[in-house]
Amino acid sequence: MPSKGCRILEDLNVIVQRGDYLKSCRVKAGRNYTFGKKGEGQFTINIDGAIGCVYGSSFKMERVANRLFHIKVLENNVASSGIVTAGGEDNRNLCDDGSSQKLTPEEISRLKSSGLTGKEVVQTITENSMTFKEKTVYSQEKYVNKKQKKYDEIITIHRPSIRLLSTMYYLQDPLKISNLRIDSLSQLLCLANVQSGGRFVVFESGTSGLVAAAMLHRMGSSGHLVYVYHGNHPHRDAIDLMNFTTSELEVLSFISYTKLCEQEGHSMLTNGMERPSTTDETGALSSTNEMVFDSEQPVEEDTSLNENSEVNEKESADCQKPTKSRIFVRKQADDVLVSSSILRDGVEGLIVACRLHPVNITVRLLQFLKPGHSFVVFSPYKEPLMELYFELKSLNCTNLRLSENWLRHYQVLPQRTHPEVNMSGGGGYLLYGIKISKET
Amino acid sequence: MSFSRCKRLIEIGDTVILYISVTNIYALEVKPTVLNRHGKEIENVFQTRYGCLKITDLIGKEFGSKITLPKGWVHVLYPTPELWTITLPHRTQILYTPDIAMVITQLEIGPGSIVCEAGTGSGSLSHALLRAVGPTGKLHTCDFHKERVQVALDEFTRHGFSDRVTVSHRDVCVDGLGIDGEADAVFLDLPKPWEALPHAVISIKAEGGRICSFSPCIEQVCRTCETMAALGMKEITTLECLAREFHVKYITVPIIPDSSDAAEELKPDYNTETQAKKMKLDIKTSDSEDTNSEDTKVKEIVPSTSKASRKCSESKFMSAISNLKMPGHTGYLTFATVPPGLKRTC
Repeated sequence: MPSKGCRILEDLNVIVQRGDYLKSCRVKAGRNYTFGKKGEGQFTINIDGAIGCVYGSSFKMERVANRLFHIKVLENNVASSGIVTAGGEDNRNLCDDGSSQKLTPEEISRLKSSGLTGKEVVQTITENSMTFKEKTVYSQEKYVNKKQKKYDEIITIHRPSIRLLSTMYYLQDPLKISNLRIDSLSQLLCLANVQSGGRFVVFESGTSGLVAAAMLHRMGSSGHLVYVYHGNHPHRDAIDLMNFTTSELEVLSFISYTKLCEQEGHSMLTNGMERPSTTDETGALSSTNEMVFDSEQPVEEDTSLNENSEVNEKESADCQKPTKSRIFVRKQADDVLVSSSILRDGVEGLIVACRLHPVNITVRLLQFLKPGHSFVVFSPYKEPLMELYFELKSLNCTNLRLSENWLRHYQVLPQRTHPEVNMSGGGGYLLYGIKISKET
Repeated sequence: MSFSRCKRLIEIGDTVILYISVTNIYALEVKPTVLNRHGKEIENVFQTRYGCLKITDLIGKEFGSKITLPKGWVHVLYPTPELWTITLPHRTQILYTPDIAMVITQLEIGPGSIVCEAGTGSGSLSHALLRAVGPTGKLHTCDFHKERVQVALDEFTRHGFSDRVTVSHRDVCVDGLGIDGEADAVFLDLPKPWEALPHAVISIKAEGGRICSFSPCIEQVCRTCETMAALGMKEITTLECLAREFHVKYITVPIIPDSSDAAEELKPDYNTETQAKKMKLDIKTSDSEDTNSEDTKVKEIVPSTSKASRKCSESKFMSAISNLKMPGHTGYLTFATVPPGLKRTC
């Protein structure tokens, strides 16, 4: 967000990008981070060289040990080319018998660790390919790009954004966020009219807190968001990764679904006379009550590498796993009070996003929505939303619309533009509607 | 004024959404009088299929309330950029919600953002951008059509956005966006976006930002992407998104009995033709769906179905039926990142 600093600093979360690969990490001086899938593609980098640089800067990876890299700012970031020269007409003389590459995998592996740059490695590989010269120019380019992606030693460090987090989660595993694809997420935010200064409710489960994080980003530090969660604690990975400031987090309060149901039983939410206006103040004043959780660290993988004991030792010496500090602006009890007070006064938008059955949740939360305002329910499945459609039809709702999104990426290259060969088969379903006043 | 801040009761000057049925939704400005054809001031009355609505009757009503008209009723809803998109007066082709939603997420727009838009068109995307930048942000929008600029400015002002928008009349391909190193994001919807790209880079902050270009044709996309790469932009992505809507309803289909004696009992006229007719009926009712008289229509279908298929068994199930016709293409969205410290050339 524009108000925040634009430099990469310690204790902030960043998104590291290498080719199509994205990974989040928390910047700590002296710490090494492991990237990529286990095996050949895995590498470890120390990102100290990025501290103080502007977000969005690109860096060159410099090898210091077998698979350990340091990074250095890249001044002139232009893609290396010049490997592709004259090419053949077509592929009539090429046959895929696995014998065209003269180098053995071991030799290529040795080449990689010999300190050559990515471009030099790719150059050597193409020179040792007997068929490379016969391929068409387009085919050569495709081949080089493929190899370059593999041996590219450039990384870019970004400020976390909803776009990057959503893409990162989706690349890691769409099911980790209940198949909530970026287009569905974007529409949730628009259809619920999420904006700065408004009051909103979200019920989110199984989407790593991505919806609440996205709502908070759209709200800035004005308005209020009540996050209703299921289970022992809310999912808030994405919220923690966004580097929200305390004033931005003050917009957010949590309440568990069970607590909500209990309170309704005590009619606390409806009559609103117990514990009056002081709730808001206590909530705001008891802020910066930082609690540090160091239990689970799903975003940071084990940094140790088994093959290289030297590096391993060094690592374990100078980097104990840093604790992921989570900012809680209020105590849990105050959160419940703040949340109930907001709900009691009514909200201007409701989002439900989960793979749980949405009917009872939505019907319960709808009572807090002011008439004339919108709600949206996301589910990875169509059937529960169909049930909800009929349920809501008999309640005070109108303009009910069930939809699914379709998203296709394109390869755009001169003379070679076409849809990407692979696409996501589905990004979940949305049920949108507007609440209307009760008949009087 | 109702777009920019939340309120409970309808007042003079508000824009409200009149909901008659799924396909019959209107945006109305609450003003007691309008000028007629001869320039004379007359009472503001809106004609609906359920009779006429005196606009002054809306004043003091709660958003979401039901308004009774001589022959039925309608609902009056809170205005949102999404409802505005489906009700606004078209002056040009417009962007629809699936694309708009994607643009805002991909451009990483939030409260406080400074955004440039060219051209303004009918202001469909502008309303969503104005909501996203919030009271602390700014939208600089421009169009090369003089009248459109004035109409758009009037509209933004009536909707309460005047303090967060500037509207200017300019040809961005020639004159640039008029913003230098201030913008977090730029959106281009132009016939030749590649000509405006160098100007777009100039308007972006030194620490970088995001750019989007919307084009209906693939040839435009090719040139745009080439220029983006040549200018040194990163993360160049082109995509297309569409929303598929469903009609949710209970469907009854006949089951043909397997045994021969049961088959004989079937009336000869109960054939595929009647089934096709019935399917058409399903789709028709869902298209002209009408909240206010829907229940009676559903009832009409049910007895006719049971009569026609009395002789054979049937299966009833809940289904989400897709439209027989839907928008297949709106435009390609191309996004790119302007990296920090990118050299600006023009």
